[in-house]
Amino acid sequence: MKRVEVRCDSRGCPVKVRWRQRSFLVRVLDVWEDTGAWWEGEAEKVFYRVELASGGLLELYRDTGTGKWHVYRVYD
Amino acid sequence: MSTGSTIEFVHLHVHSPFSFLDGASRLEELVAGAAAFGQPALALTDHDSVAGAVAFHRLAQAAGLKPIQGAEVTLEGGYHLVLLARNPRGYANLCALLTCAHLGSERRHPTLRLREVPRELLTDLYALSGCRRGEVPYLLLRRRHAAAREAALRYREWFGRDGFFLELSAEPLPGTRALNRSLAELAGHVGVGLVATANVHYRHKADFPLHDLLTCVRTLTRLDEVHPERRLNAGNHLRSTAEMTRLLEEYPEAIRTTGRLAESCQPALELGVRRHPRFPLPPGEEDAPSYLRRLVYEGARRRYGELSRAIVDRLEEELAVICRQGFADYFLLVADVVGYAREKGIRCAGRGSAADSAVTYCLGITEVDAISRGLLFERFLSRERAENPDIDLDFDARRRDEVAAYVYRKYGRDRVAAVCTYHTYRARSALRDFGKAMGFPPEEIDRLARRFPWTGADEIDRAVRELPELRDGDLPLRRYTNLFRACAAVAGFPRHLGTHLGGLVIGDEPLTTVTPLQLAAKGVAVCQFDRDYVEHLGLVKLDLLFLRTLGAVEEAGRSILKRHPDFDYERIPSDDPETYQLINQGRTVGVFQLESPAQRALQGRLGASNLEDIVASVALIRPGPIKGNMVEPFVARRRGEEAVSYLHPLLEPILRKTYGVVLFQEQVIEIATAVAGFGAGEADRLRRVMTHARSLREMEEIRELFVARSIDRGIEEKVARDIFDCLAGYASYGFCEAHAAAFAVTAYKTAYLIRHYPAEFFAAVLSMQPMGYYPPATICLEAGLRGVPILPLDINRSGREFTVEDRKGRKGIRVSLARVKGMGQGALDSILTARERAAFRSFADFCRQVELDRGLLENLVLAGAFDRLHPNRRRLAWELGLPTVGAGLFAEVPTVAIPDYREEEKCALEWDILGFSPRGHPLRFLRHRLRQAGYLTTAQARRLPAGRRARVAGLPVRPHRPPTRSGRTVVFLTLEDESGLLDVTIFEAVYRRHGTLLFGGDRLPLALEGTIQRRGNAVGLVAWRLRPLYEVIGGRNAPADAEPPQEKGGGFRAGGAGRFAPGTFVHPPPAGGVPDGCGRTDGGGAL
Repeated sequence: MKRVEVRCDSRGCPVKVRWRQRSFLVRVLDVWEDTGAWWEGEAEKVFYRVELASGGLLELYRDTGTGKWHVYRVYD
Repeated sequence: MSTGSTIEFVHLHVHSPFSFLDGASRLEELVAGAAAFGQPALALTDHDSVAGAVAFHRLAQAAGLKPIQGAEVTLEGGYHLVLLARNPRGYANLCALLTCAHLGSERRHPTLRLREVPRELLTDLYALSGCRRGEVPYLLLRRRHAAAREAALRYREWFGRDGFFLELSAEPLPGTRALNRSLAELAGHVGVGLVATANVHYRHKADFPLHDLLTCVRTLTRLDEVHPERRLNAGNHLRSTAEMTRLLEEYPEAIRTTGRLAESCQPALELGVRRHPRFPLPPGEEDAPSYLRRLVYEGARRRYGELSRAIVDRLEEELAVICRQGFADYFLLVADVVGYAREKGIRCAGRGSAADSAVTYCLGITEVDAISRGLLFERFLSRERAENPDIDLDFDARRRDEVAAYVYRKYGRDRVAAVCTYHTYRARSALRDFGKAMGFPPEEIDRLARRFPWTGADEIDRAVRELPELRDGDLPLRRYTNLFRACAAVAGFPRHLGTHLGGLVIGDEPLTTVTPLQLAAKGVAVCQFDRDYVEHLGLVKLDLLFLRTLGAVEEAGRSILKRHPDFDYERIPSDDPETYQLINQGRTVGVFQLESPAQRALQGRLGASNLEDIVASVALIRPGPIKGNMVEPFVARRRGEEAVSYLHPLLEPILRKTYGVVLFQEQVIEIATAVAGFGAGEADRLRRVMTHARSLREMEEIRELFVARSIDRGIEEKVARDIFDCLAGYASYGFCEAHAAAFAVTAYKTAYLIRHYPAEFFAAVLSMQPMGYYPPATICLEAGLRGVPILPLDINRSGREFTVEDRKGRKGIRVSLARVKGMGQGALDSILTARERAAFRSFADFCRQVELDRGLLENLVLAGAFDRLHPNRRRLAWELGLPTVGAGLFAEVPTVAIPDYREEEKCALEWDILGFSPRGHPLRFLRHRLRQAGYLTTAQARRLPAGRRARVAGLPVRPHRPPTRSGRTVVFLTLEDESGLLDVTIFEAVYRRHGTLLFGGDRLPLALEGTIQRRGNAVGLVAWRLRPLYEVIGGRNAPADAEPPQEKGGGFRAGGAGRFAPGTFVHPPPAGGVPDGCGRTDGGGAL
């Protein structure tokens, strides 16, 4: 999955995403967790479905193991 | 969070392990978690069950939480709905609803049809719309808003505007936010409230993997497979109030409502209320106490004739306690059940501490005369302990259900139910379930699980550290680290609900006000509480157990009467010298309670000469007396080889009959009374503290009380302490004398039957299998040694059960048809019906008349059922294997000559199909090779003097590791060959080297070397070397004549060669990884 830079608020919710060389303000529409293949040592992921201020939808996740953000899905 | 009053949140949707494979934290954990969060109450809502209610109630109260009883019920369409009891009436309604759900549906698929249940059952309950499998959220998620609204209105109509709530979930699933918004909107539209829930399935987030594994077990999936019921994430833990408030911050009202609902609920469970049934008195009787008194005195005159002052005093004292505590109805009820069994000729005997009572003796419930034995009523029923009396009744195993049916008829189907048991996870079951879920190959898991002893799932690590058969190196233990960890975590979790073998509860009103009922496999209604919980609920329990020995005695008696019309089991002389001679020789295989190796060894030394010796024997071979080192002093004193001494003269009258040894629980009570002047109830408390090894603190308390009271009565402090320590030392496992006495009578009588009527008794024992300590092969061997041959299976002579036949003036036992592997009731009936018309003339004749499935037919042929009609068994088997195209089974007769099986092949086939062989023990066929290798028969070994070294070979029977005084492991087993039995002892060092041979899960014949040991009439072998037999007399490369001839023209059974066990008998197991080849003789010449 493609890495992405995300700025979060005090609770860890994304507010700004830097993606395709541009920054977007975002609004969180939905949050969920996915534990994945825990028996293989996979870390939990926290997914956010966000609406870009400029229109369009993204699904991002934060890998709780690495703390890194990735783009999961793009709705153009 | 807003300022002001603190927000009170309560979890109202919580699953425990009583959701059966859908809850991963113990009730203790959940309660502790809620208490730690400062939540004032907690609800329990297991799937379709309130099985956890009693435990939950007690735990919650102890933790200062209000328990709210509920359940998540399954509705039509598979929808879920959470129901909470607002008060005791609500709980009763919930039980009734759950009963409707269980009894009105297919077993294991309870479905509540809300449309059909009486509306008054829907009162005093709160209903919550449930998780995503609730009808309303389910429809909303699929955007069927109109249908969702309709459903919400329907529930509102059923449960009332203030009884139905939409659940806002804090589960972090995709779409939760939108779903909650829709739910909130809908709530506004239809005018119902919102509650916040977390659908809790475990305490900590970190418990999720365990829950996921349990889900895999429940859904029969492997971890790497997908299943819709497996959860996406670890979001179903018990959340703190702050977390719930944050997650559902848009809905503060939903949070507050949980606290408000919890506040309005009253405790729903009323524990400690007695719900005993009234006994239906016959017309003219005034009340239960006076009727009971009349029956007791009638019985007393039957038992004793003239009633002495002492007898009357004792009866009066017992009646006073019974009636004051309100148990008169219970005693009448039990007496009535026993009376019914007597009337119908169903053999029955009361066991346990009930035999401490003279009232039960006079009522015919027990057969032990408590007065003449001086037994203490207090041991049975305490005046200080408000506990229900516990009377266990044994019945002839085959007819126990008739008695249960009588109880159902008498008290009504709605008032009687079986007590349940929770099948809880232990090492083996956890390894099997989780091993499968984790994707280990089934054979590997099977091999692993079979290696484990019967131990708790949390003792796996200890077993692996300590047991050589687990450490032998052929198990890749490191592969199992995660598996073992998961198993330990579920130790003791209930896996599913089963039926208690004998327990029935009887209520004073329909049971469904206290417990839901569901259907057990046997088709009987079973309640959702086990024997302990039932007691807490105030229900009376009646244990109708079945004892196969009673069936065997009954059957043997019937069979003896055919040839000896004067025989009367009830009048067997109690002092028959020949019977005591048999017991003294330790030849007690088949004798009730006296047949284990330890008992046989004891009898070989004890020199029993009266019933008291048997009573003591039954109590002696128990973990307590063995650990407390009581056996040796007892035997020495009984034989007069050691002086009997007492710590204090006061003990003499109490301990005289057991030679100064404290053997019985009754004696503990008597000593406490005589030495410390304890009241009867105090003394029983002392016994109970000791017996149940309760807390150290409790033990110390009662010790100091005992010592102080003794000193007051002029006993030296040191002596008082010594006496107490002596009691504490082994009272922990002491045995109830009344129970021992009840069993001793049966033990003696079965010994008498073996001595005088071995054919009839062993035939009955073989028919009643499984029963007793030994497998049927050992019983057959013992019968043979007593001059009673086992007659082969015969399609025209074998009956439904084992029968006694006269053969040339001698009695023999004919193998039953039922013994054939694969024989069912239907097949048995059709064979016997056809045979009633005329004996079968040939195999073809048989096949024309009786239609059996092929496997069973093969078994009959191979076990020799047709030998008398077709002397060449192998030829018949071959014919059966012919292709049956067109012309039927016997259209073509082969012309080639087919040699019959050899004797040892027949023996092995029979061993496989019948579990033994009428031709004798398989070792017989290896004897010449064993002799050449220097091996003795067990009979020869038994004649050797003590200290002599010997080599013996045979089949190990029941290897076991009982607890020992030293804590070191000692293995006992019985070695069996064609000449008899030899008891073998294996000490720790040898066991460490050979554990796998003994407990590896395969029953391999063994070759042993050891030293003969003699004590009295008891002979044994202390083995210092163990090998599998195949190493000694050749493995796969054994002489060619040991191999069965190759099948020609397509064998009669694919892969059937495995049944030729005399070949395989001495071969290493196929997957054992043990080297082949004959005669590793290292060290073999040392003898």
